[in-house]
Amino acid sequence: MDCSKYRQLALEQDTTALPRGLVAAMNEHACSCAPCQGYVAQLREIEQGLKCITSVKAPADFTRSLIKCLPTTERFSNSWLPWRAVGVAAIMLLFFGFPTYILVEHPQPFVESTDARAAVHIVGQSVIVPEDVVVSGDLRVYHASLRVLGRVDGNIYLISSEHTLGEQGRVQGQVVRQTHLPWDKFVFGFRNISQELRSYLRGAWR
Amino acid sequence: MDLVEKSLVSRAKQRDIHAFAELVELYKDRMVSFLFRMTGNREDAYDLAQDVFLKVYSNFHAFDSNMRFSPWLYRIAQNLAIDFLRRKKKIVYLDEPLSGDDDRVWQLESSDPLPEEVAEFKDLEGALERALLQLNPLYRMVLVLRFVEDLSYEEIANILSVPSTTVKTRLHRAREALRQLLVEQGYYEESQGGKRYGLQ
Repeated sequence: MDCSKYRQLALEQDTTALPRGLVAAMNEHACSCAPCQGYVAQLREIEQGLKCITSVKAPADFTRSLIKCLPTTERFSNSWLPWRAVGVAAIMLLFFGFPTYILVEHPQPFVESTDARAAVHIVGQSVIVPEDVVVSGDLRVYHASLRVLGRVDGNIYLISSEHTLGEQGRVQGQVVRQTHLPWDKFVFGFRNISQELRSYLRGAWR
Repeated sequence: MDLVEKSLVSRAKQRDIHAFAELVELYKDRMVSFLFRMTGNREDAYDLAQDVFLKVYSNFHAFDSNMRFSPWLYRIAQNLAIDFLRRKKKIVYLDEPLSGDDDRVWQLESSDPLPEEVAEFKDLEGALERALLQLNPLYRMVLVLRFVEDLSYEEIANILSVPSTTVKTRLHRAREALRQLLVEQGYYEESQGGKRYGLQ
């Protein structure tokens, strides 16, 4: 075994894991090579020296002064997420809740039909189906006084509404009266807002 | 990680200042000692140790409670130490393979001992301290973690994010490099039966 091989193997932390034959060759080399003995002894001494090296301690007021330096404002962590969600919900409620409340308390006339092309008019608190108009489907009227002067080929649903039939007015289906449940009022409010918004945007686009 | 430490870490993660202070008390000496060995200067070691704990505090949300705390702490410390040495001295090329003798020695601003320091270097501890500071920081780090901080190969591998075999190789070379420096200082004679020489 040459010196470089011996020195490399001798520095293994656990020489017992080496094959028996190799350990025997190492012992043989160590007995006959004084420089290698010295080399390994030096390295072992270095290891021991490092283990005994004087440690440096932190100053007595280290922790106290560190705590004073801790940042007061913290970054968002995962635990902040629910609070952020609550914040967003509160803002949404402010933005939409108030107009909805107004519309629920002071409802505006609103009409919807399964016939998308039906040209009904809303005038003040009245919804009018003009004489020459045919609504090919159901008509749902909210918070209005419905005047049918033309023809409705379907049912009419009156939600918190009244209706009158003109001389030429015809209704093929039934007239059903319904009342608003509290929750429906809010749904209606939201729907009304979106309709207002759509018509506003359409006006702005033109 | 024992139960007490685990509980402290868990509470400190929830921004419990008292638990955090207890953790600092537990590790402050080890951190200062490690950073002193890396920088060679007490004041720098104190400042860096403070930075380490501040970084721990601000990044606690990113720490996985199922992992051991001390390797994470040492990893932060070694990163800050390397950054500090980069800023203060020359550039340390972390990606460069550590082989041969070229990167063995870390140049100090003045490597000549002052007259009053000579007496100190006559003992092994003084000689080792001086030689350590001349080593490449990456060699210095594995030596300090293994022999001064008494960490296992696996723990060092975890801290340095390298395989255990790399730690063993690096440690082997670091010991040899340190011995060479002690030979150059005149503390050892080159492999002649291990006879010890003092300076001059």
